[in-house]
Amino acid sequence: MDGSDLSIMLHSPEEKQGVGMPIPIKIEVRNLSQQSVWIVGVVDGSEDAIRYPHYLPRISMAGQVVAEPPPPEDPLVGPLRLADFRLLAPGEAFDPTNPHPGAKFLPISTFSSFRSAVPGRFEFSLVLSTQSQYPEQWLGSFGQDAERSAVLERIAQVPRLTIRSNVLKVEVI
Amino acid sequence: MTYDPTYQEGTSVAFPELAMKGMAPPEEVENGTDSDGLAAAGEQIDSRIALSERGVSGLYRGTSGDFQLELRVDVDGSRPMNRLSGDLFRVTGATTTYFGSFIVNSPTVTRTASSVTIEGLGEYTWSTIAPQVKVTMSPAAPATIQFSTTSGSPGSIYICPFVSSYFRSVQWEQDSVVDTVPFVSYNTGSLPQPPNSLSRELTVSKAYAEAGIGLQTAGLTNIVDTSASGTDTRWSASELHAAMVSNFSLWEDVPQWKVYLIVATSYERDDVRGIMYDQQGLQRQGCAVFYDAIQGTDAARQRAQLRTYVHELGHCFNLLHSWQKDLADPPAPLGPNGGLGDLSWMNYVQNYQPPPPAPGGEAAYWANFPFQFTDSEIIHLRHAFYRNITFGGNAFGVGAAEIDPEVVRDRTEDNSGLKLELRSKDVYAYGEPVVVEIKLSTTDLRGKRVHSYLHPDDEMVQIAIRKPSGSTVLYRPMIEHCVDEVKTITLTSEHPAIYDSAYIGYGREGQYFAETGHYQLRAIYIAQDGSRVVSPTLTLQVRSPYTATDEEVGELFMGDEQGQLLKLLGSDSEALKHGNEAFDLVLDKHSEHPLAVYARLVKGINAQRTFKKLAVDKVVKVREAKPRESVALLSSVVDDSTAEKGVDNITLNLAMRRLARAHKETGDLERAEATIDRMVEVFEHKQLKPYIVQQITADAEAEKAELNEA
Repeated sequence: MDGSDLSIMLHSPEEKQGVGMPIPIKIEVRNLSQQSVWIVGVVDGSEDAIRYPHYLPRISMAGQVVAEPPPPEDPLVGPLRLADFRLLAPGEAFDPTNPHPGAKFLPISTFSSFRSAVPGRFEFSLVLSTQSQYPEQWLGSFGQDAERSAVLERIAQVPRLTIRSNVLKVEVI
Repeated sequence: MTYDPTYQEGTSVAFPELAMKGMAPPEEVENGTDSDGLAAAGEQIDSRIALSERGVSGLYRGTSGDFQLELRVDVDGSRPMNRLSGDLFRVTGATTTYFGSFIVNSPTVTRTASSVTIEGLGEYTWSTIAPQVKVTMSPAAPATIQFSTTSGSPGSIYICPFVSSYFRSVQWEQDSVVDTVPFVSYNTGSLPQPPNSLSRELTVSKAYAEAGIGLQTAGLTNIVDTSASGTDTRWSASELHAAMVSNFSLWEDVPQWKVYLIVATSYERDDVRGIMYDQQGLQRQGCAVFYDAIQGTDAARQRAQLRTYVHELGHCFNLLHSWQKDLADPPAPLGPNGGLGDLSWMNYVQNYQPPPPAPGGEAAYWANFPFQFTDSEIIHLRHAFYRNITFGGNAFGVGAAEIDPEVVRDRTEDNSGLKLELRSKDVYAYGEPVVVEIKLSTTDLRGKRVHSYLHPDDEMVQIAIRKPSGSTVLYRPMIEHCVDEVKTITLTSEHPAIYDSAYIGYGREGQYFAETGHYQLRAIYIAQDGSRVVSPTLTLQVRSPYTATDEEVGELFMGDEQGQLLKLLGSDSEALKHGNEAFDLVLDKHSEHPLAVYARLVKGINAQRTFKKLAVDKVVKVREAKPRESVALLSSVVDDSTAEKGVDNITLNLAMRRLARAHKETGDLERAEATIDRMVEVFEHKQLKPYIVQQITADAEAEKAELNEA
């Protein structure tokens, strides 16, 4: 399995957005392969790249980065649990910020808190990476003992890849 | 005996108003200020001011019988949370041990010009029959706390003088690495802030003082010289922990209201601003901020520095990030929008997102943040159960802990002059008898007289065992030994410790180490003056069997009868016939297996002695000793153990002395004496402390003298 077997797409409403207004961004991760795939959504520390999976957002305008996650505050991230894993069937998609029952996913703060103070054309992109060097780079820094072994086993089943989303262009007026 | 500090016989008072007359004035406590000009813990309150003016909130402390109560009243004053809470400690001899905590949410408050009554039903960390709490306060008198049953029967009463307007007082030591500049203060009016937030000069201490927590700078401030590390200015969590242990002048590896912060250069990972790194052993005693990531003198950076310092210390208080609170054990409720909407020191500025359509992000955070903790965080800071908040208490993220047996509690104060330690192997095979070594030593340079009953079977030392499943049990001996005779010894600087070893694998509840996994053990020594000296936690592992043979042999050691035989060091009893058969099978089929040494030990010691049986005709029949069989078995035990793969030292000592006796019983006195001499040589080569070798040598001489008796 490689990066071509999963895709990540960003969507927004087609109409132009207003200055100072939030821009609703919908994220969709889809399994393009012929087999089921284990994947994890946006968990505590994913956006800061403190722990895997990494979901790394960026907002640019005229080639300049106008919003991206700041350096991490501290590395105290919550545990990764079996409930946070989602098995995607062939062709199935999910929103990694919208948790299924039992999962603890978080929004991409860079996207959800962005409000442009000026009009213009903004480009949204997101990179998903599961290419950790060690499986322990997925684990939380507290409360992890309870499911540690089972989670490590499940991590091994997540395909290792880095995929980049489409560049979503949003007009702000 | 079950103790309940809310219902002790002989301490309840039916008419507490009468008991208040003639009481001493409120206890005077230390009064000083820290560098911020804050009143330190222990303001002297003018009791002539009517209660309705001065308010009643704060910390009170009193005793009843063996118990000391720290009561926190939080019904008026700055940001009242309308709570009562308390921590109870048991004082025995020179030791003070935490017992439990309680909280009363939303108590009923009744005020008159001359009294305030606060009452409600408490929630407790233990099961109590007197859960109702009533606090009564009058001018010029301490607070009276009356516990009672839900039907109104009076329980214990505590008279508690006022101690402090701070709900908790903490000593905070801060060190910094050379070439870093620690944060001092920030004026909240320097940059736009919410209209309802007062402009004020905020230090880290003042931020916590506003939450009702007295954070006093204490200890020795060090500038840490890192020249030896060269260009490596990054710190790992392990290095930070080691630095804390060596530099924190208030350091003790016990739960205490003392915390450490180091201003370091940078973390092993780029751009991390801070970390609560202490997640090993007794956790949450220290944190770090990283100067390279947070430095700057402009207002925005100073504001961010203040936040980082307060934030990381918040983790030491066991506060999680705003969006993580439901991950605590037990889970705590999240604030708005899954906690992301919290305006708190514990949120990340970039993560701030109130419920839509309100804006989020860093600008919105600072525009709305009043430089305070949320209500739920203040309730935690002021009223969390002791072990859930004290530094070195529960692990990070663990809330009110499961209830340990009453005997095993964190020490809060130990003036006994004694130290207790447990030692064992790190890893035991499945089925391997778990033998622990118990050491009692003196910390008192003047010497200390102690009783020498260290073996838990004498029940003057208790051992608590937390199993891999999480349940905690107390080792209870199969047979109680009543020690009527007082056997004491004086521990001195020349002879500072006594030792014993104990097989604790089997007791009154059966096998204690039947599960594979990690166990935690703590021992308690009950001194003659009632002091209860608690050992540090010992962790050991029972590993899963590697092979089918390991599993088979392990199972042959796991039966009840086998446990009893190990405890008794052998027996001819018919009731233990199957246990003996299991050990015979080990020796027949698995004679080379490492665990076979224990079967030989049990059988060898049993063969060395005679065995009396009461037959059905009520006549005692004596099975004669079988010394040649004993010699064969115990010689093998000694050979294995002197090669470092058999039994522990104290058991080896026992085995060699029994072997010597067995030799004598075969008529070979020369071989018996040679065995004793060999015993001394073996222990001389083990690099034991000189006074221990001297003791062994003296015991050997006594043994030889006994062997030579006709």
